[in-house]
Amino acid sequence: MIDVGRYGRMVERLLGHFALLMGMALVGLTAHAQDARELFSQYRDDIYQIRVIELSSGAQSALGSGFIVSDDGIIVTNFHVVSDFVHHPLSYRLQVVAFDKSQHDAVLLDVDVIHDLAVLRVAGRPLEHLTLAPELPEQGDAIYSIGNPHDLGWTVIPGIYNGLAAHSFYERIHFSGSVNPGMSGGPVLNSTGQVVGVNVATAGNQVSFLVPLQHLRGFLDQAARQPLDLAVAQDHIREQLFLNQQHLVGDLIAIPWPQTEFGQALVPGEIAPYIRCWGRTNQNPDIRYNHFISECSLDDNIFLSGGFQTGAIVLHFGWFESEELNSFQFYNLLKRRMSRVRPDNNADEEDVTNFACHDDLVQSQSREGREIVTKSTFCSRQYKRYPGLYDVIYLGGTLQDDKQALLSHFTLSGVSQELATAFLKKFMENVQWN
Amino acid sequence: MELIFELSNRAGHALELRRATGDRITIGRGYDNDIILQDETVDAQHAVIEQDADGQLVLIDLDSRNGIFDIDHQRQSGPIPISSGSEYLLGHARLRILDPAHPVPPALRMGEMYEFTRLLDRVTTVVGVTVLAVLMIWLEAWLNTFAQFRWQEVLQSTFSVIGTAFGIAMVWALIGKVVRHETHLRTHFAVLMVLVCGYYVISFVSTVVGVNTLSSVLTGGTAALLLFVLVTGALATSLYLATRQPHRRRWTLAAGIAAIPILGSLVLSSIGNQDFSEAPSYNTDIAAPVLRVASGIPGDEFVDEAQEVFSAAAIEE
Repeated sequence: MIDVGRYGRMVERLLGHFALLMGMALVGLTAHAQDARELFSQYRDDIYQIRVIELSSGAQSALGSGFIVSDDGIIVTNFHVVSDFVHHPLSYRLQVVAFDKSQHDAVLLDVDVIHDLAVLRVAGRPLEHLTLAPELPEQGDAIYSIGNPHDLGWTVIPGIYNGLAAHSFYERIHFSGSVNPGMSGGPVLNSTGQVVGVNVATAGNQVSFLVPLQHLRGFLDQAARQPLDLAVAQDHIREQLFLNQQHLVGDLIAIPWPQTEFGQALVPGEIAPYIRCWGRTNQNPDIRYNHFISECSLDDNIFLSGGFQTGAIVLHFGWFESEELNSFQFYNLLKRRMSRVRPDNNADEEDVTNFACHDDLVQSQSREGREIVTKSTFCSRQYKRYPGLYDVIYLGGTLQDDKQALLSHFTLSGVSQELATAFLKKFMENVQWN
Repeated sequence: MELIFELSNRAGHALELRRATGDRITIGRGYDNDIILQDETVDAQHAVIEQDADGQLVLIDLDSRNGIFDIDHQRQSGPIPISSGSEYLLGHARLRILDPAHPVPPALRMGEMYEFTRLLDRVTTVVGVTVLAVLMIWLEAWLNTFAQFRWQEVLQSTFSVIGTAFGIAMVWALIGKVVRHETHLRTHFAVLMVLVCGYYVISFVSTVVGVNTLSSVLTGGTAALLLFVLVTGALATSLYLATRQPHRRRWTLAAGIAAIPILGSLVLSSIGNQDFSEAPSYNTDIAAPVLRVASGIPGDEFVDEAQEVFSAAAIEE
């Protein structure tokens, strides 16, 4: 179970699925193989397969990897490996399986949904444990990812440390090597056998992502050492989401937004290094209008459960103009476009309420003093497990020109009412006609 | 004596009325009878009506092969005393015997419905509404074409609408033929064309109202209600035509009953909307600037007003 995330979709779109297969053939320099063998035989007793067992059927519902980091039996894995157990503690239990195939029950101590980490404790077993590296490697250093991909057996994968992924808000190590489902939560070691990161996600084709050392250390420093009371676990997660969004969205609201020319309007561009913009023009030769879009989004999602991600920030702008279509046709086109808006994050019925929406016509001044009327819609849905957090959608379409229109739209997920309101205000102020 | 004979089909609808006079009225298939019944199950000399010693009219079976039955299919034998309005089966033939003084109910008013359907029945009306409906379909298609206009596609959808309407009209005509021996095919067709026109008018009006008032309850609800009224009206008209039921109360009731499933499906779909959906539902009415008379509110005001969605999202939980 690997969180592929937005990176995954983007790279897959560019390169196609075949890339994954091709990439695998490239692994395995001889020197690496030597190191890998030694490392693995030395540390294999410190790694565990993490199983989430469904109680009524007794069957496993999620598999991942994990490793021991202290002599009192603390095991690190990914939050997304144990998320079923966190959300439904009465339906699942946790089990860890050692390299010697012995099975042990484990208790959950703490989770960090922002960095996708969790700690468990296994009783009365470990004598040895892995240690954290004092610092991150240099770019180009060989590092070794360990895990149990697809439950095929323990695997060690040599690869290259390539620094922190650019444009990533949460900081992820860019690891050139194949991390596959089932390896999630497994350790990544430097050549001296110290932990530098935790397997977390892949974009396919040798592009994989690790939780870096500093976040692992930060989490372990403050993680609880007592079993997590699952009755309050959701409050704990809510607090983490709340703080993270306060930091992420709060910063975005505080900074000035650069504006870029977009048709006859000015719209926000890359408002922060981790908000990346992509543009596209409709090239269909049959259509009788011009249409281009700019979409700016945060590349990282926060995994909460299989059907529920949060943390998405998307700003979308569309420009429509046509000489050939008459005004009625033009606005039928816009109507069709504006009735299709969907949130940019997934959520199920158990996670969120339905959207509630408010519509109105909003009047503003263009820079030349012209009156601009925008049909505006603002919708929000609340998180059922995390009261006070909302997904919000804004959609605006201008209605004053016969042949030109600007469509502006944003999605924020997992934000408080206060942040959403401030963001809405800022967004509307920063979309302006010439 | 003078008697009126009402010949009916098996459903009891009168096909023919005949008057006969004389001391003795004979009934049979033979051409020498007073009342000739062209039915293979009737004997050449089947029955006779006479006055007995007390002056009572009696129906006498002339030893016919298939006999005489009353309306409850009980075989009658011997002289059958008859009263005005009584009905008998001679073989398969159904015969009602009436005194010339038999009372008839007062005449019914022809009513607005009759006038309305007569108007619909005119060739000019039928052609007019059909042309109007086709033009509306074309206009709608043209206004929703953002690439090259393709007649082929538009004609295809036009033919499918016209074809469907014709099919439905045929079904109504068939019902009318069975019930009343009247088809009214083109009137039924005209009703459906009015329905098509009405649909486009309602959706256009609701968009214009929607873009100016921005109340999805008002526009969506009113449009649905108008559409319901329109469909029920069309149904009532077709029912009236097919059954020619002159009692207004009866066909209004029938149309009402027929409209219940439509109302039911509308209600069900609005309940369905309350199920969980990942997509927001909001007012999507947008129209050309010329159709917009309302102006907007300042952005700050919108932000303040929009705060309601947070409490609305919370209440729903």
